[in-house]
Formats: sequence, structure tokens, C-alpha cells
Amino acid sequence: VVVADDDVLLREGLAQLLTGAGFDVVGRAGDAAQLLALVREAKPDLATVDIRMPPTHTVEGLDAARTIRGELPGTAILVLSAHVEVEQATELLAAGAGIGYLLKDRVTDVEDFLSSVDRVVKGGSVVDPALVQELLAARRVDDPLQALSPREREVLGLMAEGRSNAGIGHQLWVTEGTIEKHVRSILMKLRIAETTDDHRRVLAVLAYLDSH
Amino acid sequence: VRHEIRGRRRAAATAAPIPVAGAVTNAVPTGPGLPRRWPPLPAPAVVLLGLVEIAVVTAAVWPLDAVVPAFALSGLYFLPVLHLAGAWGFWPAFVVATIGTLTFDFFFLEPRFALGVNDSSSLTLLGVLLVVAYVVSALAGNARRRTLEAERLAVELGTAERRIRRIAEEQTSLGRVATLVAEGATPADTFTTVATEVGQLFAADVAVVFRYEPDRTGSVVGLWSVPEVSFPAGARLAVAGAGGAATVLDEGRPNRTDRFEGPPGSIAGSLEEMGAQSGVAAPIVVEGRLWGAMVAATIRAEGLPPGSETRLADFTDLAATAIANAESQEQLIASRARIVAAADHTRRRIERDLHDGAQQRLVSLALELRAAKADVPAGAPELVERLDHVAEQLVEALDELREIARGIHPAVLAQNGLRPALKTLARRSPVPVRLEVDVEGRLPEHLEVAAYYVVSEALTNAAKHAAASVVDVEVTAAGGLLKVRILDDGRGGARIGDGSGLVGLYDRVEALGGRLRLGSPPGGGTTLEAELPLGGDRAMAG
Repeated sequence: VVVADDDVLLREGLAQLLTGAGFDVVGRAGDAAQLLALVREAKPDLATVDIRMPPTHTVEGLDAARTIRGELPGTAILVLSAHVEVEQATELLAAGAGIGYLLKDRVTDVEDFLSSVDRVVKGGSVVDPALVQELLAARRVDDPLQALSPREREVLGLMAEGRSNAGIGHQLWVTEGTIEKHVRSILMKLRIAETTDDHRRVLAVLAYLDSH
Repeated sequence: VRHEIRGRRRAAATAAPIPVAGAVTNAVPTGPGLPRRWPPLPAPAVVLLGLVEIAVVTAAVWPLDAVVPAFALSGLYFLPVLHLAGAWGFWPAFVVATIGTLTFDFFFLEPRFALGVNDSSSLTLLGVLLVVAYVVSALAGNARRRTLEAERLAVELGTAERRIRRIAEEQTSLGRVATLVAEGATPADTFTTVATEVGQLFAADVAVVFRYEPDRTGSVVGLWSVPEVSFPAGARLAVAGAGGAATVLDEGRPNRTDRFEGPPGSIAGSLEEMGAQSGVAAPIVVEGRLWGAMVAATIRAEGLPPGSETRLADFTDLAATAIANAESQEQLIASRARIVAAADHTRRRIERDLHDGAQQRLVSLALELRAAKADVPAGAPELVERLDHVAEQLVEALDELREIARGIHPAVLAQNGLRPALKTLARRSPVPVRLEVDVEGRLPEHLEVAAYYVVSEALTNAAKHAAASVVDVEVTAAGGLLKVRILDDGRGGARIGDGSGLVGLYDRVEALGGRLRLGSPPGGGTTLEAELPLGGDRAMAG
């Protein structure tokens, strides 16, 4: 793993956390240039990237993530941000699977954070729950989400977070088969095309929620 | 003096009808009520003319002597007397009346061909004749005097009327310029108007407004001319040579020039080249500093009327006011823009400090806390519980901090632009929002920030006060304008200035040279519209 964050304390804390969980932290970067150099050299399985880094403290992390994806598509990327925005999430996830976009705060819930890291490394997509909640909670005129049952809304949220049917089932303590039924019903009610690919499903759900 | 004037006025009022149109054109009064004007002659010549006329009358009367009684013939001698009195006044008529009476006596009264009379009735006739002749002379002379007086008054009246008319025209012209200035017309428009008004009012051939530049040159900022001039509006000419702008620059006061002379490419030189014979110039003084000058010139040999230079100064005073107004307006706008920009800058810095400083620190602390918890030896469950509690508090603090940072300045605006930022606003609005953003690419930051705050404030108001069920937000960038329109179906009745935050928006929009309009009839929903010039770079000041 390569860890990139301009804040030393946080960078070290994150590296420690990952090391403690059994990851091998092979590099620590303070800005995007360092990060790219380290990634090209060490070719890690995962890069965690702070979105705001020197010199402009805006979206250096996003650009770095795009570059890494372009050069080394096999590298999983977890982008951490001080605040989450739909635009940035869809932009990032459009680059493909194996990408996560989380609030920095998530690292404080170690177990949850490590499971997210695990999902990204395994090629899954991860979207911050706060962002998904914001999308689901938005008030809409003739809200199509009104057609969904509370359970279905819950499942839709977990789909948007990038979880697989099995993952959702695990989360909600029900069988994968039950989840599959819910998913089919949701996609039909919202007229979203069905897909077996979890990543494409995340993109479709996010796009739907963003545009309605 | 006062009595004299009043006397004259009365005389003018009672004098023969004065044709006003004739008086205005300064022609000699020749109306039907007035006698022909006779050429002035020396007194002996007049008396000689009188003698000739008497001779003619005598010759004409002579053949009638036999058929008409003498006293009847005597009446004809009044003709030369009347003529002379009417044309040259009392005294020549008096002399001729005396001579005429004696001539009559000599030729027609017994004894003939001798002065003197035979009887008392002839003497009486002569006496009556003489007295009547004198009275006629006096009356005719008086009539002549009054006629002349009336003529003089008519001319004077004409002059006075012309002067009044000129003053009235000047006041009207000044009034037009003053209205323009008061309406806040741009200096460029004001200069053009001033040049035109002065040119036409002074019957000049060219009128120019110059702004002095630092290197003894002047820019033509207002121009009016009858013949073609060698310099266009906007030209920069040297302030050199004699007369006009050069004299104003050196002396700082209105002046008159009888001859323009200057090198080619200079103001005086250009006027000389177009054949300007004479002209006047006056300084434009803005808040104590010599800003520019105005020059009016004519190619006519008689030049501009006296006093034109001081009259010109009235116009330059108005131009100066227009400039001062525009300058203070510009300064006000620039200072507003600086204040808004400074406030935005501060908010952005605070937001960055919160995210990159406080938030990072809290996250690190939370991580450290987790590590510390892992190190707690078994058998201290209370400590673990307390650490968990602190960690939870930390997470809550982080959430709060994120919300505060978002409220202070939306980072997404700078990072991703107006559309995503407005979408986020719409999603977080308690009232459903229909959002339409028709803007290509990114806009200058100050416009994005302004549009964002306009929408943000309107949505907040719609949710808080309007009890609206839906809000439409339209943002378009076209025709050099960024238009932001927010329309809700709530109860209306909103006002700018009721502490709703609309005042701040109003200031922000005005600072960018834009307009903010609020339409909120009670029960009819609320429409907030902002128009911001896309090309405006004022906000970049500071």
C-alpha cells in the first residue's frame, strides 16, 4: 500500500492502522508528485489518496487517481476527502472498478474502514454512506423513490454504496436470494437497466439518484 | 437711473406700435406708423432747403392769387414748415416759418413787394399765420423727437429681448446637461452632449472636451463640429502652442484666444489648420484638480460673442460634476467589490483551515484514541467505555465541523463549479427544487460565488418563510449576462431589508455591477432575479 496525505500525523496514523491490519505500507507521500513516483516504483495493490494536497489544495488527489488508473489499471485506489461531493464520486467511479471514495472521518471506525479497504482491493466500488444518504434524502417533486418500500430504500442505499448482493444480505441479516428479489423490484420500479456487474450497477444507481 | 429706466419703459409702452419681429432682426423700424427717415443735414443746409421749398410754394401760389383769397393761400406755406419740423426738428422749421410768413407778406399782402401791411386785419392774419407756423413747428418737431425715441427704444428692446432669449436658451441647454448629469449618464455621453450643446448655443464651428493626460497631451473625449476636423473623438493631441487648452493648462482659468497657433498634431495646431479664427476655453476642475478643458472656436471672422468664456465655464462646471459623480460611483463599486472579495477570501481561508487543519487533527486524534484503546490492559472496562465515548464525541464533532465548513464556503464550488454546487444545494433543500442550469463550462469565481449565494439564500427563505411546495431555479449565461431566477409558490410578502439576508445579496450583486430584483406579492409566491454582467471584471479589483 502507498499512503498519500499532506498531513503527517494523519498519514502516519493511517499507515499504522493499515500495518496493524496486516497491510504492507511500502510508501508514504506528502503530495501528488511523490505519490505518482512511489506508485510507479512500488506498483502497490492499493493507494490511499487525500483529495486535497499541495500545491493548490483543491483536487490534486482526483487528478493523481486518474493518472494512476491510466498508467496502472490494476492498482486499487481509495480516495479520502474532507467532504464528499456527488460530482467527484461519479467522476472517480467512472474510471472503473476498484475505486473507493470516502470521508476521511471513516478511518475512525477502524473495522468499517478496513472492510471498505478490503472491498476496494478486491475490485469492488465504495461510495461514502453520507453521500448516498444525501442523495436518498433529497426532496423531489413527484419523487419516484416514494414507490419503494422502506426496505427497498435501504437496499437501494447499500447498492449505491457499492455493496454486492451478498454484502447487502450480510449487512441486513437476510439471504442473498431475498436481496436479489428486492434489487430486481427496485430496478424495475425505477426503470434502471439490470446488470450483473456490481460496479456498473453503482454507476447506474448514482446517475439515477443524481438526475432525479 | 431707476426713474429714467421706468420713464423709458413707459415711453416704450405708449410709443407707436413696434413690430417685434423687425426689432428682433435689428432692422430699422419701417412700419406703416412711422415716417421715412431723412438724412441728417447741417442746419444752414436745412434752412436753405426750406428757402427753396418756400420759393417753390410761392411760385406755385402766384398764379392763383387772382382767384383765391390770400389767407387761404397762406395755408400752403405750412407744407415746408411741416416737412422741416418733421424731418429735422423745431429750430430749422422755426426759421423757415418766420421767413415763409415774411415772404407771404412780401408777395401777397398790400403793399405788394414790400414788408409791412396796410391794415390791422392783414397784421392779424400774419400774426395768426406766424403763431400757427410756430405751433406746427413745435408739434411736428415734438412728433419727430418721439418718433426717434420710439425707434431707439425699439432697437434697445430688440437687444434686450435677444439677450433674454440667449440667456433662456443657455439656461435650457444647461438644464439639459444638468438633467443628464443628475440621471447618472456616463461621462462619455455627458461630454458628447456638452460639446453639442455648446457648439450649437455659441453658434461655434467646433466644440471639444479634452482630458489632460500626464505628458502634456489631451484626449478628445467629446467632439462636435460643423466642418470636418482633422482629429477624431478619442484622439490624443499635444497640448502646445498658443490659445485654448494650452492656456488653460498654464493658467487654469477661462480665456479667449484671437488666434490659434500651434505645431501640427497639437490642439491649437489642429484648430489653426481648420481655419479657426478665434475661440474660448474653460478648465474642467474635478475636486480641486485640473482634469481637462473645453474649447469652442469659430472660423467666422467676427469671432464668438463677448463673455462666451465665462458662459463656457458654466458648462465645464457641469461636466466636472458628471466626472466627479462617475468617479465616486466607480470608487464605491470598486470598494464594495473589494469588501465582498475580501470577505469571500476570508471565508475560503477559514473553510480550508477547518478542513486541512482542525478536521485532520481531529481525525488523527481519533486514530490515536483507537490505538490507545487497543493498548488498554485487560480488566479496565470502565476506561475502555470512556474512550469509546470520547471517540463517539469526536465523530460527532467532525460531522458538525464539516457542516460548519460547508456553510462558510462551499468547497465544491471552487472544485467542481456552479452546477454541482447548485445540485448539492437543491438536494439539501427541505423544499423540492427543480433546477435548470444552462451554463457552458466554468465562470469567473466571483460570479459563481454570487450565483451560489443568491440561490442558497432564496432556497433558505423559501423553506423558512414562504411555506412553498416547490422551487424553480433557473440559471442561464447568455448575451453577456448571467441570469439567476428563483421562483417559489409560497405565500410571498418577502422584502429586501427585513433582515432576511437579501440585503447582503443585494450588496454582493450590486458590487459586481449587477441587479437584484425581488417580486413577492402577498399570496403570489416569491421571485428573486439576479442579473450579473459576465464580462464585468470589477470584482477582480483587490
